[in-house]
Amino acid sequence: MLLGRGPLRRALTYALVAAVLVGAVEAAQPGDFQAQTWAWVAATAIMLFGFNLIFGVTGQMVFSHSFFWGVGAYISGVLTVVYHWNLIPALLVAVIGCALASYFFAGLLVGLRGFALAIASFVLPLTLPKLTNLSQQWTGGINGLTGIPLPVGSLQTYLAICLVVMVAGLWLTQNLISGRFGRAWRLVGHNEMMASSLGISPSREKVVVFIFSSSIAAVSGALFGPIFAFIAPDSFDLNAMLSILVGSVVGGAGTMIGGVIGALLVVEVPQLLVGYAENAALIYAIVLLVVLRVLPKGVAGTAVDFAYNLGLRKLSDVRHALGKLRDPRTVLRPGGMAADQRPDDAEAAASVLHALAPAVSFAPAGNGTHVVLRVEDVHVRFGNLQAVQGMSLTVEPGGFTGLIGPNGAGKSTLFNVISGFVAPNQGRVLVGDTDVAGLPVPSRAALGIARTFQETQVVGDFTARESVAVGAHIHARYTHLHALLDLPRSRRVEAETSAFADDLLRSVGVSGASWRRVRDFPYGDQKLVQVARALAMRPRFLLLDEPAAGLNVDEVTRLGVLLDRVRKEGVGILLVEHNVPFVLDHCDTVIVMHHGEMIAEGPSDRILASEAVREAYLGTSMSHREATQEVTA
Amino acid sequence: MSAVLEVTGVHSGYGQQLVLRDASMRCETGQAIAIIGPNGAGKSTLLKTICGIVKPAHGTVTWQGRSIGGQPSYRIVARGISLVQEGRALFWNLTVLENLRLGGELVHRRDRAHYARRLEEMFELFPTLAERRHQRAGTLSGGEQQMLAIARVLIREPQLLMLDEPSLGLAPIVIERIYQLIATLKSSGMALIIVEPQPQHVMNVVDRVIVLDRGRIVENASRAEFAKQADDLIATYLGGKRQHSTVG
Amino acid sequence: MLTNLHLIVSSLVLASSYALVGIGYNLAYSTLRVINFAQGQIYMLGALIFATVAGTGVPLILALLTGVAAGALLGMAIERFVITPIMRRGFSHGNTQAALLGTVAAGIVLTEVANRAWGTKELGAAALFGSGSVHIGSFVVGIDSLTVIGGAVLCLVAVWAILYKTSVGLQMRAVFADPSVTMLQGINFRTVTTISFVVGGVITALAGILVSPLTSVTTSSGLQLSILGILATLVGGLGRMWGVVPAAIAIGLSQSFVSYYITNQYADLVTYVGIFVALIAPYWVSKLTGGALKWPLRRQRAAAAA
Repeated sequence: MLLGRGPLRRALTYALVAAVLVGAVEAAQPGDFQAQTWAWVAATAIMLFGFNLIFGVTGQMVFSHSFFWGVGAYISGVLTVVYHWNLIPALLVAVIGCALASYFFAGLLVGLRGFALAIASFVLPLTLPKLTNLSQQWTGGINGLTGIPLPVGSLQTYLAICLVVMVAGLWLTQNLISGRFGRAWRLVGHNEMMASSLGISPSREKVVVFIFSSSIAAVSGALFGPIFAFIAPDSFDLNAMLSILVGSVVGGAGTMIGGVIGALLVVEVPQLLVGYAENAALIYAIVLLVVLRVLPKGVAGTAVDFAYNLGLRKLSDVRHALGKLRDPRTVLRPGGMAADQRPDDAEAAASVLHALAPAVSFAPAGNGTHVVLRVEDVHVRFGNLQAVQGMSLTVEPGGFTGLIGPNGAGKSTLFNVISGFVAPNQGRVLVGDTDVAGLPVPSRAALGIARTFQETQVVGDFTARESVAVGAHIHARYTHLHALLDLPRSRRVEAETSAFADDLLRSVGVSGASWRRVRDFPYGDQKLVQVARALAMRPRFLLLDEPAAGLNVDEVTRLGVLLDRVRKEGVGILLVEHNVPFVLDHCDTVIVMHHGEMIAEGPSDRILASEAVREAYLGTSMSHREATQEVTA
Repeated sequence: MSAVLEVTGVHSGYGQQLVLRDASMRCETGQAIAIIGPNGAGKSTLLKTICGIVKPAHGTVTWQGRSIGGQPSYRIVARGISLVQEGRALFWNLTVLENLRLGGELVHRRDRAHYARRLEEMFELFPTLAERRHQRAGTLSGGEQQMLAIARVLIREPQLLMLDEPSLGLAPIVIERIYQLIATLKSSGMALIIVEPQPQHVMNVVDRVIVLDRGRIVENASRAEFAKQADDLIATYLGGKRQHSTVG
Repeated sequence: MLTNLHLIVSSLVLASSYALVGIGYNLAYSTLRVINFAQGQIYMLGALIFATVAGTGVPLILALLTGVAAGALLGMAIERFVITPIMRRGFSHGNTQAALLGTVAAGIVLTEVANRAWGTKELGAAALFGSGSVHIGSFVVGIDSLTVIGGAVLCLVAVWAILYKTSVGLQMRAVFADPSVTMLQGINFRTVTTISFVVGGVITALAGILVSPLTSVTTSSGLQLSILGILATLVGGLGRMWGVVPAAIAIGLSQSFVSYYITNQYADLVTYVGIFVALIAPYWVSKLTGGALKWPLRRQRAAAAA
């Protein structure tokens, strides 16, 4: 509280850190060599913030950043040496130049993934020596650019400036990744398909991150020049890129503070090992090999995990003390049948749910118009397999349509057609009067189509809250500038989004704490988190792919109550589910698919009476007798 | 008869997530067992645990008196347990012949002539595969793919054959053919474990039925016993009869 | 005309060396789907060890065997101690990335070790079949050049034979398709993986031994070559064993002809730009034609899995 409250608190903390560092420089008065080394650490850390954004956070393997590092250093160096500019305008020009160049290259590279991206981006640094040769009269060619002036009187002051810029960079990048952009980028790195389905365009986000990280590299490059008053093409060659990679991986690529740790390691450690300087490369390489095996998430990432696990242990201690450690799935009826022993009828469950759940509104965003989702005569063929054959259906706002049929009947394929992952060979999908054919997945999400996936699709280290909040990406509106500067608007929107996510988690009945990582949740909760994420989009149409599979009886009941509430607020639901009674209970229209075709459509009682349905789905044995009795009872 | 496969108190899953809890079952020579249950119940995980794709976190798996729990799958396969995975899991870009050759690698290594005989037997069993021997597996129809998947395993003469949803995505007539074949295999004395989400096809070929629900074995009964209480059980595996009756 | 002929021969020499290195990369890639960035160092060490052993006066064939054995051992060591321990955690994107970084680190370790053993010494490697040349009219070609081209052709045939005519080759293709399904056929895929890295190491070391007589050998040789080898592999399509051949020839031709006719100084730059364009072309070709036209060199995943 010493540092104040609210929006200013974090900024002040960073300012204090910067002040302490400046004070330390003043107090220690390092010699020129020491000052150079520490300024080098600061510049490297800044470079690592940028590189970690694209490599660690967004998961894109790129080798191009030593190129932008070099270009930034050269632009600023030439402007200060040849044209006698001040460092600040020179740095700004360097940043703008790199941003433009990286926009160009990111646009070209956007379709590449994995190794192709790594190698194509790897070509850029190779061209740097040639480019400096081409512009020899300014850059000094292979001999390098000498006489880069210090913008201030002494190296010590320059060191203080570099440290302040480093802390500022840490603050800015940390702000950038702790909100909606960070979530979206991490999701893109883990699962582009899911990102698209939430209205996040992976290619757009990758371009944005690429530009950010290259611009930051340019800042680092511009600061780098004056330290040694000299730059040469080989300051930014593949070996330089390698030291950045080592720093990133060892420090913790997914974090920003890892950049500082990594910079200390790649710059300071070889200096400390006096007499081992010529072994620096060997030491890096061995450290990298060890870290890759022992600490795959780097120092900072491992520290975060450690803190998280410590929190978990504390939580479970508390639970244990309270004697509440009880897995609902362990309760078995003596006869061997699994079921919860409590008398859990739906009303009781519903009242529990209402007591727990806050009044979250599920009403579609941009409500007011009556928009219908129509699928018209869709055909899909995979090779010689006719997956979907002439399917048509309509989902009204507030309608609840169930899609059943044996495995492989084409239900999921139809889902993929509606959400845009599969292009139909024939037929149309209409949202209102808009034909969405040709619209990419993210644009369809923006039109209000949300979907879940059959598998639980846990995203890396995402907490439950983050997993849901990322679903609200398209509604949590604030710009990169808001995020960078931690402006009140981004804070407010983030607070709202977090509260919304927590409310949604409780509404769907997720029992775990929202700060816990989803991958530590039981299967049922993981599936419910997915439903909550789709709901966070505030969609017009909700496409659920087997949401009840793997849930226990209690959870299924709550899911039913929840979905009934959701549709009452005007969301149209299309449900694929194997749990037939669940579908019959909740859906007003049931469609039965078999071999890609619709073999029956209608209200649930009529569906069960259909002989074709019994044959195809329930089988001819005793199953349908039971089920029919249930319905008519 | 003695138990050739014995699963005792097995817990297993992926990462920290346990999918299968405290599963115990046995399978004897010449016996056929059906494992049924809803999606996500842990049926596939049980098969994967037996053949070593998933390591059991707890419990033991013994085969012919020797412990195989935690061994790599290639060793377990070499001891005579084979799995036909869900979705066939063929080498899609390799030809029919190459797929069979990989399946029969163990035989080929020991005795080439025997491999050649087995290959001919497979082609007699599945004449369409003989016609398409140079075609890539990915270009076969669904039924042919399933036949290839079964042939690729049969060629090495397993003592225990496990099939994960052999009817998945196939036309009824093809399913019927596959189950005829399974019945033939059973009568030849091969032990069988078949996973299906629904009992309709599998009931006629098995001796015992195991019902899995949410990671636990909730029923393990002979076919006759199972038929007696089938109504109850079917309501369960179709997803909660109790819940339905109270709402509906 | 004569000039062009000479240029074509020198292009083919370059292309052969890229193809050899590229096939080495592809073999190592062909099971675990990880690019082994230490291949360049295997090339360099193969050449250095060959030159050193040959320098002691033992028969060349013995030196050749030593160099090749070193390549095999290095390939195996990198697979066993660097890649597999990481990939054992699972075939995820993150682990593939980590394994790739591991091979980069292993490459540096090898370079540094070589620096300590050989220093900055330049070794003249003996040509396997002498340093004479063949004259056809006024057309002259060095036997060492012919050795490179011939060696490359032989190696390509040998690799083809291993992949398509042997059990282990079939198993390698199976592991490439799906390691866990391969295990379910009773095949120990770790053995198969190791063999692919050993063969990759052998081919790469052989490349070093064949190509180095054209220049000289230092601890930094092979760096440029290995980069172009990777690029040829990528342009040809990773995992497509033969795509590397036309790509290598295209790169070789462009280098020789550009440096002779257009610019000597910026020949590399032109090559890099060309490679960059070739790498991004598949995406843009299909994007700009609305998916109607697929880049012919790109592998299509079997739709049959659906």
